[in-house]
Amino acid sequence: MLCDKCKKNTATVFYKQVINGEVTEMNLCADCANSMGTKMSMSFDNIFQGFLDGFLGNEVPNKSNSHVFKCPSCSTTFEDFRNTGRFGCVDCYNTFREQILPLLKNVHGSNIHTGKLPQKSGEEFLLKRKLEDLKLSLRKAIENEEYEEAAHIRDEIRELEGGGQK
Amino acid sequence: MKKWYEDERIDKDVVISSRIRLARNIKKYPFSTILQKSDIDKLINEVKDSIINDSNVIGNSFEFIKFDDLSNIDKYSMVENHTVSNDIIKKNDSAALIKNDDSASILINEEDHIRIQSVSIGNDINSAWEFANNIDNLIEERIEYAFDKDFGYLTSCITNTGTGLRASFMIHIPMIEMSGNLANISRAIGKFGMTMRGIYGEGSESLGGIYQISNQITLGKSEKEIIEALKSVTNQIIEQEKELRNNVIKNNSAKFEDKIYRSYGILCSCRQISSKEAMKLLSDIRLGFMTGILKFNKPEKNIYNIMMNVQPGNLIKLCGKNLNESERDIERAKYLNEQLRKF
Ligand SMILES: [Zn+2]
Ligand SMILES: [Zn+2]
Repeated sequence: MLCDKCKKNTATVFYKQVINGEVTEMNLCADCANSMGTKMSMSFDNIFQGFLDGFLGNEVPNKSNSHVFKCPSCSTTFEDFRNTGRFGCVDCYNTFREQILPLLKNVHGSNIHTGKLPQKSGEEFLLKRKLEDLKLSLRKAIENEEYEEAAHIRDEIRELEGGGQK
Repeated sequence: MKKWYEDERIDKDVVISSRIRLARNIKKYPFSTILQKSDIDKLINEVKDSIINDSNVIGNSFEFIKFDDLSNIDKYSMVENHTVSNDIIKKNDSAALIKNDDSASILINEEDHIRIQSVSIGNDINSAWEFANNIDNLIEERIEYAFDKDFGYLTSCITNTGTGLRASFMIHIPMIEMSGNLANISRAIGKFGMTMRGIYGEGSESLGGIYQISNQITLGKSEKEIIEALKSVTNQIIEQEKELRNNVIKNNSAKFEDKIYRSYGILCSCRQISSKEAMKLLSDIRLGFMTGILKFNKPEKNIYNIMMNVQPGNLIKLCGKNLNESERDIERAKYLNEQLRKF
Protein backbone atom coordinates (compact mmCIF):
# COMPACT_ATOMS: atom_id res chain seq x y z
CA MET A 1 0.00 0.00 0.00
CA LEU A 2 1.33 3.40 -0.97
CA CYS A 3 1.44 6.45 1.27
CA ASP A 4 -1.67 8.62 0.84
CA LYS A 5 0.33 11.81 1.02
CA CYS A 6 3.41 11.42 -1.17
CA LYS A 7 1.99 8.41 -3.08
CA LYS A 8 5.59 7.17 -3.42
CA ASN A 9 6.75 5.34 -0.32
CA THR A 10 5.14 2.34 1.30
CA ALA A 11 2.67 3.29 4.01
CA THR A 12 3.59 2.04 7.45
CA VAL A 13 1.64 4.34 9.75
CA PHE A 14 -2.12 4.51 10.10
CA TYR A 15 -3.34 7.98 11.00
CA LYS A 16 -6.76 8.94 12.27
CA GLN A 17 -8.14 12.20 13.51
CA VAL A 18 -11.48 13.87 14.14
CA ILE A 19 -12.05 17.47 13.25
CA ASN A 20 -15.54 18.87 13.73
CA GLY A 21 -16.89 15.35 13.91
CA GLU A 22 -15.35 14.40 10.56
CA VAL A 23 -13.08 11.38 10.76
CA THR A 24 -9.95 11.56 8.64
CA GLU A 25 -8.01 8.38 8.00
CA MET A 26 -4.68 8.17 6.23
CA ASN A 27 -2.07 5.57 5.55
CA LEU A 28 1.29 7.30 5.62
CA CYS A 29 4.95 6.50 5.14
CA ALA A 30 7.28 7.30 8.01
CA ASP A 31 8.52 10.53 6.43
CA CYS A 32 5.07 11.92 5.80
CA ALA A 33 3.87 10.76 9.21
CA ASN A 34 6.65 12.82 10.75
CA SER A 35 5.83 15.92 8.79
CA MET A 36 2.13 15.44 9.56
CA GLY A 37 2.97 14.90 13.21
CA THR A 38 3.99 18.49 13.58
CA LYS A 39 0.68 19.57 12.06
CA MET A 40 -1.47 17.19 14.01
CA SER A 41 -0.56 18.01 17.53
CA MET A 42 -2.54 15.09 18.93
CA SER A 43 -3.21 11.59 17.68
CA PHE A 44 -6.73 10.53 16.85
CA ASP A 45 -7.11 8.64 20.11
CA ASN A 46 -6.33 11.66 22.16
CA ILE A 47 -8.59 13.86 20.16
CA PHE A 48 -11.49 11.46 20.15
CA GLN A 49 -11.14 10.80 23.83
CA GLY A 50 -10.91 14.49 24.56
CA PHE A 51 -13.88 14.98 22.29
CA LEU A 52 -15.95 12.48 24.31
CA ASP A 53 -14.75 13.64 27.69
CA GLY A 54 -15.63 17.18 26.82
CA PHE A 55 -19.26 16.29 26.26
CA LEU A 56 -19.83 13.60 28.81
CA GLY A 57 -17.99 15.30 31.63
CA ASN A 58 -18.15 13.25 34.80
CA GLU A 59 -20.51 10.70 33.32
CA VAL A 60 -17.66 9.09 31.41
CA PRO A 61 -17.11 5.69 33.00
CA ASN A 62 -13.66 5.45 34.48
CA LYS A 63 -11.34 2.61 33.66
CA SER A 64 -12.07 0.56 36.78
CA ASN A 65 -15.74 0.04 35.99
CA SER A 66 -15.65 0.23 32.22
CA HIS A 67 -16.10 -3.56 31.99
CA VAL A 68 -19.73 -2.93 32.83
CA PHE A 69 -20.16 -1.25 29.48
CA LYS A 70 -19.67 -4.14 27.14
CA CYS A 71 -21.89 -5.01 24.20
CA PRO A 72 -23.42 -8.45 24.87
CA SER A 73 -23.35 -9.34 21.16
CA CYS A 74 -19.91 -8.27 20.02
CA SER A 75 -18.03 -7.52 23.28
CA THR A 76 -17.12 -4.02 22.18
CA THR A 77 -16.55 -1.90 25.28
CA PHE A 78 -17.26 1.79 25.56
CA GLU A 79 -13.53 2.20 25.86
CA ASP A 80 -13.04 0.46 22.48
CA PHE A 81 -15.54 2.87 21.01
CA ARG A 82 -13.74 5.82 22.57
CA ASN A 83 -10.48 4.66 21.06
CA THR A 84 -11.60 3.79 17.55
CA GLY A 85 -14.75 5.84 17.06
CA ARG A 86 -16.40 2.68 15.70
CA PHE A 87 -19.13 0.42 17.02
CA GLY A 88 -18.94 -3.34 16.48
CA CYS A 89 -22.58 -4.12 15.84
CA VAL A 90 -26.18 -2.94 15.95
CA ASP A 91 -26.54 -3.89 19.62
CA CYS A 92 -23.76 -1.50 20.61
CA TYR A 93 -26.24 1.31 19.96
CA ASN A 94 -28.61 -0.18 22.56
CA THR A 95 -25.86 -1.00 25.03
CA PHE A 96 -24.40 2.49 24.94
CA ARG A 97 -27.64 4.34 24.22
CA GLU A 98 -27.41 6.64 27.23
CA GLN A 99 -23.74 7.42 26.67
CA ILE A 100 -24.05 8.34 23.01
CA LEU A 101 -27.15 10.55 23.35
CA PRO A 102 -25.16 13.68 24.30
CA LEU A 103 -22.47 12.74 21.83
CA LEU A 104 -24.89 12.48 18.90
CA LYS A 105 -26.45 15.73 20.01
CA ASN A 106 -23.08 17.38 19.82
CA VAL A 107 -22.01 15.89 16.50
CA HIS A 108 -25.35 16.36 14.73
CA GLY A 109 -27.23 18.89 16.85
CA SER A 110 -29.90 16.23 17.42
CA ASN A 111 -30.27 12.64 18.51
CA ILE A 112 -33.56 11.80 16.85
CA HIS A 113 -33.84 10.57 13.27
CA THR A 114 -36.48 12.35 11.23
CA GLY A 115 -35.58 11.11 7.78
CA LYS A 116 -36.37 8.11 5.61
CA LEU A 117 -37.89 4.98 7.13
CA PRO A 118 -37.36 1.46 5.83
CA GLN A 119 -40.11 0.70 3.32
CA LYS A 120 -41.16 -2.62 4.84
CA SER A 121 -40.91 -2.19 8.60
CA GLY A 122 -41.50 1.52 8.16
CA GLU A 123 -45.21 1.56 9.05
CA GLU A 124 -44.60 0.57 12.63
CA PHE A 125 -41.91 3.26 12.99
CA LEU A 126 -44.18 5.76 11.30
CA LEU A 127 -46.97 5.07 13.79
CA LYS A 128 -44.59 5.46 16.73
CA ARG A 129 -43.23 8.69 15.34
CA LYS A 130 -46.70 10.09 14.75
CA LEU A 131 -47.76 9.21 18.29
CA GLU A 132 -44.71 10.91 19.73
CA ASP A 133 -45.41 14.03 17.69
CA LEU A 134 -49.04 14.07 18.80
CA LYS A 135 -48.13 13.64 22.46
CA LEU A 136 -45.75 16.57 22.15
CA SER A 137 -48.45 18.77 20.62
CA LEU A 138 -50.89 17.62 23.32
CA ARG A 139 -48.49 18.76 26.02
CA LYS A 140 -48.03 22.10 24.25
CA ALA A 141 -51.76 22.59 23.82
CA ILE A 142 -52.35 21.97 27.53
CA GLU A 143 -49.53 24.33 28.47
CA ASN A 144 -51.09 27.01 26.29
CA GLU A 145 -54.52 26.25 27.80
CA GLU A 146 -55.94 25.40 24.40
CA TYR A 147 -58.24 22.74 25.79
CA GLU A 148 -60.45 22.31 22.77
CA GLU A 149 -57.39 21.61 20.63
CA ALA A 150 -55.99 19.29 23.34
CA ALA A 151 -59.19 17.24 23.39
CA HIS A 152 -59.00 16.92 19.64
CA ILE A 153 -55.39 15.69 19.76
CA ARG A 154 -56.21 13.27 22.60
CA ASP A 155 -58.94 11.68 20.48
CA GLU A 156 -56.49 11.31 17.64
CA ILE A 157 -53.95 9.62 19.91
CA ARG A 158 -56.60 7.19 21.23
CA GLU A 159 -57.62 6.33 17.72
CA LEU A 160 -54.04 5.64 16.65
CA GLU A 161 -53.25 3.59 19.75
CA GLY A 162 -56.48 1.62 19.35
CA GLY A 163 -55.61 0.94 15.74
CA GLY A 164 -52.24 -0.38 16.78
CA GLN A 165 -53.75 -2.90 19.22
CA LYS A 166 -56.12 -4.46 16.74
CA MET B 1 -20.56 2.26 -22.91
CA LYS B 2 -19.97 5.99 -22.60
CA LYS B 3 -19.04 6.94 -19.04
CA TRP B 4 -20.85 9.77 -17.27
CA TYR B 5 -17.61 11.77 -16.97
CA GLU B 6 -17.13 11.66 -20.75
CA ASP B 7 -20.24 13.74 -21.32
CA GLU B 8 -19.53 17.16 -22.85
CA ARG B 9 -22.20 18.83 -20.67
CA ILE B 10 -19.75 18.59 -17.76
CA ASP B 11 -17.88 21.68 -18.98
CA LYS B 12 -21.02 23.83 -18.97
CA ASP B 13 -21.36 24.64 -15.26
CA VAL B 14 -19.40 25.67 -12.17
CA VAL B 15 -20.82 22.47 -10.69
CA ILE B 16 -19.08 19.48 -12.25
CA SER B 17 -21.18 16.81 -10.60
CA SER B 18 -23.71 16.16 -7.84
CA ARG B 19 -23.35 13.12 -5.66
CA ILE B 20 -25.33 11.10 -3.12
CA ARG B 21 -23.99 8.46 -0.77
CA LEU B 22 -26.11 6.32 1.53
CA ALA B 23 -24.52 4.23 4.30
CA ARG B 24 -26.43 1.08 5.25
CA ASN B 25 -25.84 -2.01 7.37
CA ILE B 26 -27.57 -5.36 7.54
CA LYS B 27 -29.27 -6.08 10.83
CA LYS B 28 -28.13 -9.68 11.28
CA TYR B 29 -24.37 -9.18 10.82
CA PRO B 30 -21.79 -7.42 13.02
CA PHE B 31 -20.39 -4.26 11.41
CA SER B 32 -17.64 -4.63 8.81
CA THR B 33 -14.84 -3.76 11.27
CA ILE B 34 -15.27 -7.11 13.06
CA LEU B 35 -17.08 -9.18 10.43
CA GLN B 36 -15.71 -12.74 9.92
CA LYS B 37 -14.74 -14.04 6.49
CA SER B 38 -17.64 -16.53 6.31
CA ASP B 39 -20.13 -13.76 7.04
CA ILE B 40 -18.43 -11.41 4.60
CA ASP B 41 -18.96 -13.94 1.82
CA LYS B 42 -22.65 -14.23 2.73
CA LEU B 43 -22.97 -10.44 2.94
CA ILE B 44 -21.45 -9.96 -0.49
CA ASN B 45 -23.70 -12.57 -2.09
CA GLU B 46 -26.85 -11.25 -0.47
CA VAL B 47 -26.23 -7.68 -1.61
CA LYS B 48 -25.28 -8.87 -5.09
CA ASP B 49 -28.47 -10.97 -5.35
CA SER B 50 -30.61 -8.06 -4.19
CA ILE B 51 -29.55 -6.08 -7.28
CA ILE B 52 -28.69 -8.69 -9.89
CA ASN B 53 -31.70 -11.00 -10.08
CA ASP B 54 -34.41 -12.07 -12.50
CA SER B 55 -37.08 -9.77 -11.16
CA ASN B 56 -35.50 -6.42 -11.87
CA VAL B 57 -34.15 -4.91 -15.06
CA ILE B 58 -31.82 -2.42 -13.44
CA GLY B 59 -29.52 -5.25 -12.34
CA ASN B 60 -28.56 -5.73 -16.00
CA SER B 61 -26.69 -2.42 -15.99
CA PHE B 62 -24.53 -3.37 -12.99
CA GLU B 63 -21.31 -5.33 -13.03
CA PHE B 64 -20.11 -7.22 -9.98
CA ILE B 65 -16.43 -6.97 -9.02
CA LYS B 66 -14.24 -8.20 -6.19
CA PHE B 67 -11.41 -5.81 -5.37
CA ASP B 68 -8.99 -8.64 -4.58
CA ASP B 69 -9.23 -9.68 -8.26
CA LEU B 70 -8.25 -6.25 -9.61
CA SER B 71 -4.78 -4.88 -10.33
CA ASN B 72 -3.59 -1.90 -8.30
CA ILE B 73 -3.69 0.29 -11.39
CA ASP B 74 -7.34 -0.58 -12.04
CA LYS B 75 -8.13 0.18 -8.43
CA TYR B 76 -6.33 3.55 -8.47
CA SER B 77 -8.03 4.45 -11.72
CA MET B 78 -11.47 3.79 -10.21
CA VAL B 79 -10.62 5.99 -7.24
CA GLU B 80 -9.30 8.75 -9.52
CA ASN B 81 -12.60 8.68 -11.43
CA HIS B 82 -14.49 8.79 -8.11
CA THR B 83 -16.27 5.55 -9.04
CA VAL B 84 -15.26 3.91 -5.76
CA SER B 85 -13.86 5.21 -2.49
CA ASN B 86 -10.23 5.23 -1.49
CA ASP B 87 -11.15 3.19 1.59
CA ILE B 88 -12.64 0.22 -0.21
CA ILE B 89 -9.60 -0.52 -2.37
CA LYS B 90 -7.49 -0.80 0.78
CA LYS B 91 -9.83 -3.31 2.38
CA ASN B 92 -9.52 -7.06 1.93
CA ASP B 93 -12.62 -9.04 0.92
CA SER B 94 -14.45 -6.01 -0.39
CA ALA B 95 -16.66 -6.00 -3.45
CA ALA B 96 -18.83 -3.67 -5.49
CA LEU B 97 -21.56 -3.43 -8.06
CA ILE B 98 -20.67 -0.80 -10.64
CA LYS B 99 -23.15 0.71 -13.08
CA ASN B 100 -22.00 0.42 -16.70
CA ASP B 101 -21.58 4.20 -17.15
CA ASP B 102 -19.82 4.47 -13.75
CA SER B 103 -22.58 6.81 -12.51
CA ALA B 104 -23.50 4.57 -9.59
CA SER B 105 -21.81 2.02 -7.40
CA ILE B 106 -22.79 -0.15 -4.47
CA LEU B 107 -19.76 -0.75 -2.29
CA ILE B 108 -19.92 -3.89 -0.15
CA ASN B 109 -17.98 -4.34 3.08
CA GLU B 110 -16.33 -0.93 3.25
CA GLU B 111 -16.65 0.96 6.57
CA ASP B 112 -20.32 -0.03 6.46
CA HIS B 113 -21.80 -3.16 4.89
CA ILE B 114 -23.34 -1.20 2.06
CA ARG B 115 -22.53 2.19 0.59
CA ILE B 116 -24.77 3.27 -2.26
CA GLN B 117 -23.28 6.01 -4.42
CA SER B 118 -24.92 7.85 -7.25
CA VAL B 119 -23.65 10.77 -9.29
CA SER B 120 -25.26 13.08 -11.83
CA ILE B 121 -23.77 15.57 -14.26
CA GLY B 122 -23.70 19.23 -13.24
CA ASN B 123 -26.02 20.87 -10.75
CA ASP B 124 -28.63 18.10 -10.53
CA ILE B 125 -28.53 16.46 -7.13
CA ASN B 126 -32.21 15.45 -7.24
CA SER B 127 -31.51 12.91 -9.99
CA ALA B 128 -28.64 11.45 -7.98
CA TRP B 129 -30.87 11.23 -4.91
CA GLU B 130 -33.69 9.58 -6.84
CA PHE B 131 -31.41 6.91 -8.23
CA ALA B 132 -29.71 6.15 -4.90
CA ASN B 133 -33.07 6.08 -3.14
CA ASN B 134 -34.44 3.58 -5.66
CA ILE B 135 -31.42 1.33 -5.26
CA ASP B 136 -31.85 1.59 -1.49
CA ASN B 137 -35.49 0.45 -1.77
CA LEU B 138 -34.52 -2.34 -4.12
CA ILE B 139 -31.93 -3.72 -1.70
CA GLU B 140 -34.39 -3.45 1.15
CA GLU B 141 -36.85 -5.72 -0.65
CA ARG B 142 -34.55 -8.61 0.20
CA ILE B 143 -32.45 -7.36 3.09
CA GLU B 144 -33.39 -6.12 6.56
CA TYR B 145 -31.39 -3.02 7.40
CA ALA B 146 -30.04 -2.09 10.83
CA PHE B 147 -32.49 0.62 11.86
CA ASP B 148 -33.40 2.18 15.19
CA LYS B 149 -36.55 4.22 15.73
CA ASP B 150 -34.57 7.00 17.47
CA PHE B 151 -31.23 6.84 15.69
CA GLY B 152 -32.38 5.88 12.19
CA TYR B 153 -30.02 3.88 10.00
CA LEU B 154 -27.24 2.55 12.21
CA THR B 155 -23.69 2.92 10.98
CA SER B 156 -20.32 1.78 12.22
CA CYS B 157 -19.28 5.37 12.96
CA ILE B 158 -21.76 7.68 14.67
CA THR B 159 -20.85 10.51 12.31
CA ASN B 160 -23.04 8.79 9.67
CA THR B 161 -25.91 7.63 11.89
CA GLY B 162 -29.45 8.68 11.02
CA THR B 163 -29.92 9.19 7.32
CA GLY B 164 -26.50 7.77 6.45
CA LEU B 165 -26.59 10.45 3.78
CA ARG B 166 -23.64 12.31 2.38
CA ALA B 167 -24.77 14.72 -0.32
CA SER B 168 -22.08 16.60 -2.17
CA PHE B 169 -21.33 18.91 -5.05
CA MET B 170 -18.05 18.90 -6.93
CA ILE B 171 -17.48 22.53 -7.83
CA HIS B 172 -14.84 24.32 -9.91
CA ILE B 173 -14.17 27.64 -8.20
CA PRO B 174 -10.75 28.87 -9.37
CA MET B 175 -11.67 32.56 -8.98
CA ILE B 176 -12.74 32.16 -5.36
CA GLU B 177 -9.55 30.24 -4.75
CA MET B 178 -7.50 33.07 -6.28
CA SER B 179 -9.40 35.69 -4.28
CA GLY B 180 -8.11 34.12 -1.06
CA ASN B 181 -11.63 33.88 0.31
CA LEU B 182 -11.76 30.08 0.61
CA ALA B 183 -10.91 29.88 4.28
CA ASN B 184 -13.70 32.31 5.10
CA ILE B 185 -16.22 30.34 3.09
CA SER B 186 -15.05 27.11 4.61
CA ARG B 187 -15.52 28.52 8.10
CA ALA B 188 -18.93 29.96 7.26
CA ILE B 189 -20.33 26.73 5.83
CA GLY B 190 -18.99 24.85 8.86
CA LYS B 191 -21.58 26.69 10.92
CA PHE B 192 -24.29 25.11 8.77
CA GLY B 193 -22.93 21.61 9.38
CA MET B 194 -21.22 21.44 6.00
CA THR B 195 -17.64 21.00 4.95
CA MET B 196 -15.40 21.71 1.98
CA ARG B 197 -12.62 19.38 0.84
CA GLY B 198 -10.24 18.99 -2.07
CA ILE B 199 -11.04 16.98 -5.19
CA TYR B 200 -9.85 13.72 -3.66
CA GLY B 201 -11.62 14.14 -0.36
CA GLU B 202 -10.49 14.08 3.22
CA GLY B 203 -6.88 14.98 3.80
CA SER B 204 -6.20 15.63 0.13
CA GLU B 205 -5.00 19.00 -1.08
CA SER B 206 -7.08 20.83 -3.61
CA LEU B 207 -6.13 20.40 -7.24
CA GLY B 208 -7.27 22.44 -10.22
CA GLY B 209 -9.53 24.72 -8.19
CA ILE B 210 -11.95 21.84 -7.66
CA TYR B 211 -13.64 21.36 -4.30
CA GLN B 212 -16.26 19.08 -2.83
CA ILE B 213 -18.84 20.61 -0.56
CA SER B 214 -20.90 18.21 1.51
CA ASN B 215 -23.09 17.86 4.59
CA GLN B 216 -21.60 16.58 7.84
CA ILE B 217 -24.80 16.35 9.82
CA THR B 218 -26.72 13.16 9.11
CA LEU B 219 -29.11 12.98 12.07
CA GLY B 220 -32.11 15.13 13.05
CA LYS B 221 -32.77 16.43 9.55
CA SER B 222 -34.59 14.69 6.75
CA GLU B 223 -32.79 13.82 3.53
CA LYS B 224 -34.73 16.56 1.76
CA GLU B 225 -33.76 19.16 4.37
CA ILE B 226 -30.09 18.15 4.17
CA ILE B 227 -30.09 18.33 0.37
CA GLU B 228 -31.98 21.63 0.21
CA ALA B 229 -29.62 23.27 2.73
CA LEU B 230 -26.60 22.06 0.78
CA LYS B 231 -28.11 23.33 -2.45
CA SER B 232 -28.73 26.80 -1.08
CA VAL B 233 -25.23 27.13 0.38
CA THR B 234 -23.66 25.82 -2.83
CA ASN B 235 -25.72 28.18 -4.97
CA GLN B 236 -24.37 31.12 -2.98
CA ILE B 237 -20.81 29.94 -3.62
CA ILE B 238 -21.58 29.53 -7.32
CA GLU B 239 -22.96 33.07 -7.49
CA GLN B 240 -19.82 34.39 -5.83
CA GLU B 241 -17.61 32.54 -8.33
CA LYS B 242 -19.64 33.89 -11.26
CA GLU B 243 -19.48 37.43 -9.93
CA LEU B 244 -15.69 37.24 -9.59
CA ARG B 245 -15.46 35.92 -13.17
CA ASN B 246 -17.59 38.79 -14.48
CA ASN B 247 -15.55 41.34 -12.56
CA VAL B 248 -12.22 40.15 -13.86
CA ILE B 249 -13.51 40.11 -17.44
CA LYS B 250 -14.87 43.62 -17.05
CA ASN B 251 -11.92 45.18 -15.22
CA ASN B 252 -8.85 43.16 -16.01
CA SER B 253 -9.61 41.46 -19.25
CA ALA B 254 -6.19 41.71 -20.93
CA LYS B 255 -4.35 40.24 -17.96
CA PHE B 256 -6.93 37.48 -17.53
CA GLU B 257 -6.84 36.57 -21.21
CA ASP B 258 -3.05 36.50 -21.15
CA LYS B 259 -3.02 34.13 -18.19
CA ILE B 260 -5.41 31.70 -19.84
CA TYR B 261 -3.59 31.72 -23.18
CA ARG B 262 -0.25 31.19 -21.43
CA SER B 263 -1.69 28.16 -19.68
CA TYR B 264 -2.97 26.92 -22.99
CA GLY B 265 0.45 27.43 -24.55
CA ILE B 266 2.17 25.40 -21.88
CA LEU B 267 -0.30 22.52 -22.12
CA CYS B 268 0.16 22.39 -25.89
CA SER B 269 3.95 22.55 -25.85
CA CYS B 270 5.31 21.17 -22.60
CA ARG B 271 7.56 18.11 -22.68
CA GLN B 272 7.10 17.02 -19.09
CA ILE B 273 4.58 18.09 -16.48
CA SER B 274 3.51 17.07 -12.98
CA SER B 275 -0.14 16.25 -12.31
CA LYS B 276 -0.36 19.18 -9.94
CA GLU B 277 0.78 21.70 -12.57
CA ALA B 278 -1.36 20.05 -15.22
CA MET B 279 -4.42 20.39 -12.99
CA LYS B 280 -3.69 24.05 -12.36
CA LEU B 281 -3.33 24.82 -16.07
CA LEU B 282 -6.35 22.71 -17.06
CA SER B 283 -8.34 24.67 -14.51
CA ASP B 284 -7.40 27.85 -16.40
CA ILE B 285 -8.50 26.21 -19.65
CA ARG B 286 -11.86 25.20 -18.21
CA LEU B 287 -12.29 28.75 -16.96
CA GLY B 288 -11.27 30.03 -20.41
CA PHE B 289 -13.91 27.99 -22.22
CA MET B 290 -16.65 28.78 -19.70
CA THR B 291 -16.03 32.53 -19.85
CA GLY B 292 -15.71 32.55 -23.64
CA ILE B 293 -12.10 33.77 -23.50
CA LEU B 294 -10.95 30.66 -25.35
CA LYS B 295 -12.95 30.75 -28.54
CA PHE B 296 -11.51 28.04 -30.79
CA ASN B 297 -12.82 24.52 -30.92
CA LYS B 298 -12.92 22.71 -27.64
CA PRO B 299 -11.02 19.43 -27.32
CA GLU B 300 -13.11 16.33 -27.95
CA LYS B 301 -12.89 15.28 -24.34
CA ASN B 302 -14.32 17.55 -21.67
CA ILE B 303 -11.70 19.26 -19.51
CA TYR B 304 -12.77 17.46 -16.34
CA ASN B 305 -12.25 14.13 -18.09
CA ILE B 306 -8.77 15.23 -19.19
CA MET B 307 -8.06 16.23 -15.58
CA MET B 308 -8.99 12.71 -14.44
CA ASN B 309 -6.95 11.11 -17.20
CA VAL B 310 -3.69 12.82 -16.20
CA GLN B 311 -3.82 11.29 -12.71
CA PRO B 312 -1.15 8.60 -12.15
CA GLY B 313 -3.41 5.52 -12.25
CA ASN B 314 -5.37 6.58 -15.31
CA LEU B 315 -2.23 7.66 -17.13
CA ILE B 316 -0.56 4.30 -16.56
CA LYS B 317 -3.74 2.55 -17.69
CA LEU B 318 -3.85 4.70 -20.81
CA CYS B 319 -0.22 3.93 -21.70
CA GLY B 320 -0.69 0.27 -20.96
CA LYS B 321 2.61 -0.04 -19.10
CA ASN B 322 4.02 0.75 -15.70
CA LEU B 323 5.69 4.16 -15.43
CA ASN B 324 7.77 5.78 -12.73
CA GLU B 325 7.17 9.38 -11.78
CA SER B 326 9.46 11.04 -14.33
CA GLU B 327 8.20 8.76 -17.12
CA ARG B 328 4.67 9.71 -16.11
CA ASP B 329 5.50 13.41 -16.37
CA ILE B 330 6.69 12.86 -19.96
CA GLU B 331 3.68 10.75 -20.96
CA ARG B 332 1.34 13.25 -19.31
CA ALA B 333 2.85 16.06 -21.40
CA LYS B 334 2.43 14.00 -24.59
CA TYR B 335 -1.19 13.24 -23.74
CA LEU B 336 -1.98 16.90 -23.00
CA ASN B 337 -0.25 18.11 -26.20
CA GLU B 338 -2.37 15.65 -28.15
CA GLN B 339 -5.68 16.55 -26.50
CA LEU B 340 -5.29 20.32 -26.69
CA ARG B 341 -3.26 21.11 -29.82
CA LYS B 342 -6.26 21.15 -32.11
CA PHE B 343 -6.79 24.51 -33.74
ZN1 LIG C 1 4.76 9.55 2.14
ZN1 LIG D 1 -21.94 -4.64 19.60
